[in-house]
Amino acid sequence: MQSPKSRMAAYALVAIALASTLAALVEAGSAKSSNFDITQYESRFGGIRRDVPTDAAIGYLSDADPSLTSSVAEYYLAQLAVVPLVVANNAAQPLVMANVHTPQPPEFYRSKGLELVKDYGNGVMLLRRPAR
Amino acid sequence: MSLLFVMLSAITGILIVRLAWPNGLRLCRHDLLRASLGAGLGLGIASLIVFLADAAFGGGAKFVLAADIGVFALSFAANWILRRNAACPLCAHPSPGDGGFVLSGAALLSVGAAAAAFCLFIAANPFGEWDAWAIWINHARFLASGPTWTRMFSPSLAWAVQDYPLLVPGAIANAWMAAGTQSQVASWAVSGLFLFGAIGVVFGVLDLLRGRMQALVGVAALLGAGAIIRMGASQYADVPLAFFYAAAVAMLCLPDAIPADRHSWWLAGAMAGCAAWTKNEGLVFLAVIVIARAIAAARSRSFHPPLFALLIAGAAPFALATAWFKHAFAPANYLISERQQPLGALLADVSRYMTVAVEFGRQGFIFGGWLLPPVLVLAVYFWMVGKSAATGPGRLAGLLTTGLMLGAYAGVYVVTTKDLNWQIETSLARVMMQLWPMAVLTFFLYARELKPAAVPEQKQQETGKRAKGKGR
Repeated sequence: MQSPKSRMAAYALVAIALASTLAALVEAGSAKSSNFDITQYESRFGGIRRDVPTDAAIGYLSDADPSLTSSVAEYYLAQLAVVPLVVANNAAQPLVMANVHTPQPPEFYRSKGLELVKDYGNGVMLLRRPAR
Repeated sequence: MSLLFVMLSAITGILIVRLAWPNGLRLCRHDLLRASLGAGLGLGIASLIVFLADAAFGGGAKFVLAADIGVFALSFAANWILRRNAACPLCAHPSPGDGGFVLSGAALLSVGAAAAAFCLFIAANPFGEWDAWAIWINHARFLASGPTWTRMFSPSLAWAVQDYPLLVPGAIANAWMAAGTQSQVASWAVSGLFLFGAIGVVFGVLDLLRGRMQALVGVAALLGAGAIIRMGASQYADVPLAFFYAAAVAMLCLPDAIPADRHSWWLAGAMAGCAAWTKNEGLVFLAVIVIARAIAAARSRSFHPPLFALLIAGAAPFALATAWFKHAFAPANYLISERQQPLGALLADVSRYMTVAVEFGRQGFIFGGWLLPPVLVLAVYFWMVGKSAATGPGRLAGLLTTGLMLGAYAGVYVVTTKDLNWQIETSLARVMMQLWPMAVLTFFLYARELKPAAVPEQKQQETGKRAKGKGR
């Protein structure tokens, strides 16, 4: 190197940088998993993906509080699980997929003018709007 | 199987780069640079294949598989026929010297720690962070669905930022379509290739232009912003974009040292074009880097239109795909479609400039997870080592590009239609990370070269005698 000053600068920079990188490694070691189990979503919604024609318009109904961020995430995950189906985040569609956390009485969907097509278990149901 | 096809795409890109910078059937110290650039280029081409298959040919997995194998076979055959005995043109440049045990060890430790951290982050969140699965993997699944891919533009999915270009999801979808299975491993591999490719590009170009020691310090500094590892593992498109920014600037700097090399011009264009095909910010980058290089060339009175034609020709396939995607498929960006306040009112609001300036300045001190403020660390380093005596319009173009991109990003924050504080809070660190590898590269091109300690004269003579003896 040209001078002791340059050598010192290089070693100091590398030492600080390396310590920062190792701090990132420590952070990675304690990285938390997100609360969203995507694989579980895929297996729960797999039946809907198989049963519904890809060009169908499908809606979404949940018993979760819509103001929560996690509710938005659950809708996004449901969409991800059924691609290439397109899921609108409302129940005003001819077909609707329900994603419920606790067992709901039929009134839950009947009040929205929907009827049950198939209950896939694990809180997943396919609903439809009866033809008038 | 998905991993196999990601690797096939990367190898195809490497073979194309080897057409530009051949080395016969041999390996040399520039292969890390070739591999890094080639992997990025190959993934870019893989995404173009998927886009063509979906947009022009009705989306067939067989088309994708045939095209992948076809492009690979062509690249391989071209190398075999045209470049089998060619010598490495980059090796004609003087050797960079030794890196020294301490710096080599520290840089290796940094890269090893980064690799371990990357795997740990992936293990914690295999589908990446929120935007990864909500946007990028979501888009990849639509692209891989073939004929129904245009359903990703349904108004019901406006939340998935439908105008984002398709390089990252396309590269993943390519592997899925060719393999016939949608394994998340493809997304991990794509993310890893871009993260470690960025390291390879910074190392490879500094090694070539400023020596091994400078390259090792550059790699350590790049990874000093440890957040780049988490962002890489988050499976967002910011690190791929950062890779293409750095690679484009790197390629424009090569002619500073190797003026006869024409290939770096089209490679720079291809990297900038890939940036445009990766994220909307890349479109700005494509314009900025051409302007910056033109300014730098004009300043050094070295403007050669044919070289700029090569730059633009390299970018053309990706830029045209982006234009087609934007024109024929994607909805307007939210900056245009969601405009509620008049642009003039936002531009006239001084408080927005103040907020942006303060937050940009703050990033200099808290950026990237450095244990000490990076702006101070790098400023002190530069003060201690001084400025490199090397000159050339390439590194000036890098400096101008970094500065102009910072200005462009600041401008977007000023006119954003979203809540400014929310936008800054949720995106500024990521946006700064996009510029980081390019900024590190430019910084170490300006900083004075580090040279190995002088070998004592007697030792040199002994080494020389031994070498002569062996020669006999």
